[in-house]
Amino acid sequence: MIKFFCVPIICFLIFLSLHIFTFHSIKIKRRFRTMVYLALIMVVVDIFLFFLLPDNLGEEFVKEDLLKYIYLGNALFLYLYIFYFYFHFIIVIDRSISVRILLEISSSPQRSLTLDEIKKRYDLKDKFKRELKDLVFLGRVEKKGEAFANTFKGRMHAYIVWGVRKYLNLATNR
Amino acid sequence: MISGVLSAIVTSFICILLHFIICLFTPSFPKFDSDVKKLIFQGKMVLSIWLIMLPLFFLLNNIFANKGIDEIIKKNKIEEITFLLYSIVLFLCFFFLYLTVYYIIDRSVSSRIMIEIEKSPSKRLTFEELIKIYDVDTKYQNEIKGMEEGSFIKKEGDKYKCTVKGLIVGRIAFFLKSIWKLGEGG
Repeated sequence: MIKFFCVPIICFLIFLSLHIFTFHSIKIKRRFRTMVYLALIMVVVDIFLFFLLPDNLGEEFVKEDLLKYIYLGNALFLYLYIFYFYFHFIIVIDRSISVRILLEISSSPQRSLTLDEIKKRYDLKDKFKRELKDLVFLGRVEKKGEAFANTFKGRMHAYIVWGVRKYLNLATNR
Repeated sequence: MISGVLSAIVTSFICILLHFIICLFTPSFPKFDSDVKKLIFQGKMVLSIWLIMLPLFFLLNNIFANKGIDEIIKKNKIEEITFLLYSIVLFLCFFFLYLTVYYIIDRSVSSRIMIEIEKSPSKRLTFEELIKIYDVDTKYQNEIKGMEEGSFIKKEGDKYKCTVKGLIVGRIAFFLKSIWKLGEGG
């Protein structure tokens, strides 16, 4: 049965189209929540399609002996996916501004802080300095005297992200 | 199919455990002058563990296949429900993969820095100019607003307090950061 990976691919493509269409046509306030709702709808569609589509979907193109390699490839994908997910989790825990603010509040004596106290404990200007340093190291930005300019790689990155942000109506002041 | 999935899950769990053990029993990691170098170091360590454990993945795959796990599932007539559950898991995998890309586009500080440089008339900015454009106060407010919406913190008077959810996430993050020796971060 190769339906198990055909259906989620179809569902993901529908999700992607729906996401692009909704974000492009409507100005959405709670974007993350909207994406989660869309994903949940697609889980229902996944179940529906799984029972609707024939069990031998796409199998006329796949020889019997090829099936075991498809299953192995799927397992390898899952193995590498867990690596990617775990490493990304490390990055989020380390780099996320929200996690750092949460840590500052939860480690304060009264477990509560005013905005000014948060600013004193965690200076975002320092964060920007570190980000610039990383961008220089990654070859996205170069220092020209006192100023910073994008390299070719940085310019391409900026144009792609800028274009997608505009198309999807994402706020530019994030 | 299930033997492969099981071997991937079991081997990955062993890899995560190994990473924890290595971090726990290593007194200190080299000091890096930038966050990205520190993360590259962690990434190389994690990837090495995953690659070293690849033979175990194949071995477990063979063991599970020889034990006839796939046949057991077929015999007990739970094959279809197993495939259905796996197809949902696979969709969620694609969704989370996409979320990581979306995060870079919507929230990444470095992407915003590069965009601001590109938008400036001379296509170059000093640090002071960047701070003026990339309003630090707005950034704090955006982050806090997002955390309030996600019920991680709540405002009491002029103070922000962790909710139970926020406290749990904070404790987990603190525990993981200390195990992985990531430093203050942020």
